[in-house]
Formats: sequence, C-alpha cells, structure tokens
Amino acid sequence: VQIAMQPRIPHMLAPPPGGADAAAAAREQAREEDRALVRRAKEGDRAAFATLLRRYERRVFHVANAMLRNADDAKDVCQEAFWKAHNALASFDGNAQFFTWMYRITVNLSIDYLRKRRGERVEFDDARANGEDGAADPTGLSPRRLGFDPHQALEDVELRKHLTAAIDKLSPAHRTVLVLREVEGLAYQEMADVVGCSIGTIMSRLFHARKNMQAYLLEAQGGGKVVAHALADAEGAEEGNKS
Amino acid sequence: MKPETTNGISDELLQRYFDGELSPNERAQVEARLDGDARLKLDALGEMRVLFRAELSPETPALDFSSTFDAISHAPIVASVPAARRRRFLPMSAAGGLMAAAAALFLFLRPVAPTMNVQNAASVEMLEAEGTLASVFQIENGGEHATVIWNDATPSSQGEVP
Repeated sequence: VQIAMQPRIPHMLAPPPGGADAAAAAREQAREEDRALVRRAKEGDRAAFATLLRRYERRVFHVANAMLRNADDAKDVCQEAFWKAHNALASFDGNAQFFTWMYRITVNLSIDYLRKRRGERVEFDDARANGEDGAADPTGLSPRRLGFDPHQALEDVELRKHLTAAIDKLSPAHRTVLVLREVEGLAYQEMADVVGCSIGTIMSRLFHARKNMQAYLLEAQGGGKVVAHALADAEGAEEGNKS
Repeated sequence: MKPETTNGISDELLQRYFDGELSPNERAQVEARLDGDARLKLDALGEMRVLFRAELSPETPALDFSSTFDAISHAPIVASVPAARRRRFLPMSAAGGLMAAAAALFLFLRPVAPTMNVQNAASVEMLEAEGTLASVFQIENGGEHATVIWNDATPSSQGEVP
C-alpha cells in the first residue's frame, strides 16, 4: 500500500452543494447502490464487493487515521478491516447500512490497536472512561472560549501541541465518539449503530468527551483550574443518563 | 449527563441543538431561549469542532489498496460465518472418549445367561495424574467385577483452546 500525501482539502465544515435536501437525496441514493452491491456480493460477485470497498476506502482510512493518529497503523487497520468484511459478508444484514458496518469493524480494530499500543486493557465502561481521561471534569459545558483564530489554528504551534496531548489523553470510547461526530459527521443513530450502544450512551459519551477536551485545553492555555470540578458527580450522572 | 441548565436550556438539549439532532419544533424553542451564556457555550463547542477537525483530518492521503482489493477479489466469498468462536475440535480426545464409552457399554450390556441372577452396575470416574487424564470404568455384572482404565490424551497434546 502506498500513501502519498496530497494538498490539504477544503474544510469539511462547508455545507454540501445544493443544500441539505440534495445531501439527503445523495445519501439515500448511495444507500440504495450499497444495498444492490451487497446483494450482488453475497451472490458471489467479487467485483461488486471490490467496488463496495473502493467506495469506502477513504472514509475507512479517515476513521482509522483519526483514531490512531498514525498513517501506517491506519493503513494496516484498513487492510485488516477489508479482509474482515470479506470474511464476514455472509453475516451482514443487507438491510443495515454497509458503511456503518464497515465503520464498526474499523473502530473495533482501531481500538484493538490502541490497546496494544498502550499495553493495557481498554473497556467501553463510561464511568471508567471518564476517569481514564484523567482530566478535570467540569459539571457542565464551559461557556469559555479558547479565543483562537480558526484560520490560524494549525499554525499555532503551542495550541497544536496542547491539542495533540489532549486527544492522546482521551479514552478510546471518547475518542471514538468525537471522531465519528466531529470528523465523520455521523448522526447520533448512525454512531449508535457503529458503536453498538444506545443513543443515550452516545450523547453521554460525546458530552463528557467534549467537556474533557475543553478542560484540557483551557487548563493548558493557562485557565488554571477554572473548569475543574469533582469528577465523581459526572461519572454518576453519565451512568444515570443512559437510555 | 449533568442537568446543568442555561436559561432553561439543559446542556444536553444544547448539545443536541449544536449537533443538529433536534426536531424543527424543538429547535425553534431552543432558539427562542438562547441567551448570552448559552451562545457562549455554543461558540465554545464550535471552536472545539474546528480544532478537532483540523487536527484529525489535516491531510488527504492518496491511498492505493489495489493489491489488497485484488487479493480479495480473487478470494472466494465466504458462504457462512460461525455465530461465535467455538472450541477447537479435539479429534484424539473425542475418539478416545467414544471408544471408552463403547467399551463400557459393551461390558455393561453384553448378554448373560438367562438363569443367572444378574445385577448390573457401572460407574465412571475421571482421574488426572501428572497431567494425564484417564477415565476409570467400574463394571459390576452379576458378581463379576471389571475395571477399565482408559488413558485420555494429555492436556498438552490437545492444543490450545481459544
């Protein structure tokens, strides 16, 4: 596998051309095409399966790369994910979305990679994940802004250093939801399908992941302990809010 | 999630608003109550989103998985996948067990003279000594007694069970 870096793409925040309706129609058309390809692949059409994988190779790589933050590891995970999908195609429910299934395989493999890299056991226990991040956890979302210029953010060496450290500290559970939401732009239901949990759990994880990130960055920026509050409350609250 | 509220808007609701997960009706209700603090929280969330996206999707690599796809397209599609990982089949152990059971059954059920007052009984015991498993069959047959000891494979010869 060869990876050659290309120039940076335009920001993903830009709305799709044609607006939300056009984007929804495009998504539905893509789903229909996926379903047809899955059907053919299950019937033994290998070209159809290769087409399916090619459709999602970039997105699968993005997820793995965002999770692992290492292109070589992400590349390995992608290859493993493609083979795993091939070997498990017969068990795939044709009515489900193919890309959420692929994401699920990729996320699970990425977590395995993280686990090996960290040399420790990683669990999807929310209370544990909250503590695992080790950040001071505010009781609510912070109204404090970091106050940087979005266009200059990547040129701010100090900010990037703190950001990298903050992301590295995130538990795999929290990193997963942030990647799926903020990078891939998945809806809560899609995230729940990928992770295999309820929407309530997704919201809870997302909430705490964001709070922890804010707390790290504000503290790193010199905000001291302004956002530091007891972690124990948040852990209990997170458990209580799962649906 | 902590039920923190800003002007009647909980953080949970604010997060769902930020993520575009509210119905148009709910959205309008939130917008009607957005005050300075809630807006600051939304700004802070937006700031995080920009940072996170910038950091985690900074470059678009040109990927070439063609060799993988090529290999996959030449591999046969797997027809079915086991629902769960199963214990590895242990042919030696299974064959040994079957033969031992057959021997015990033969001794226990073999025909006897009809005039004899027969009282049959059998018991099976598993023993392990120095890593070797053995089945001990005690067979009572109308006063006769037989003991069959069947040596099973040692655990080390059975391979690792996943």
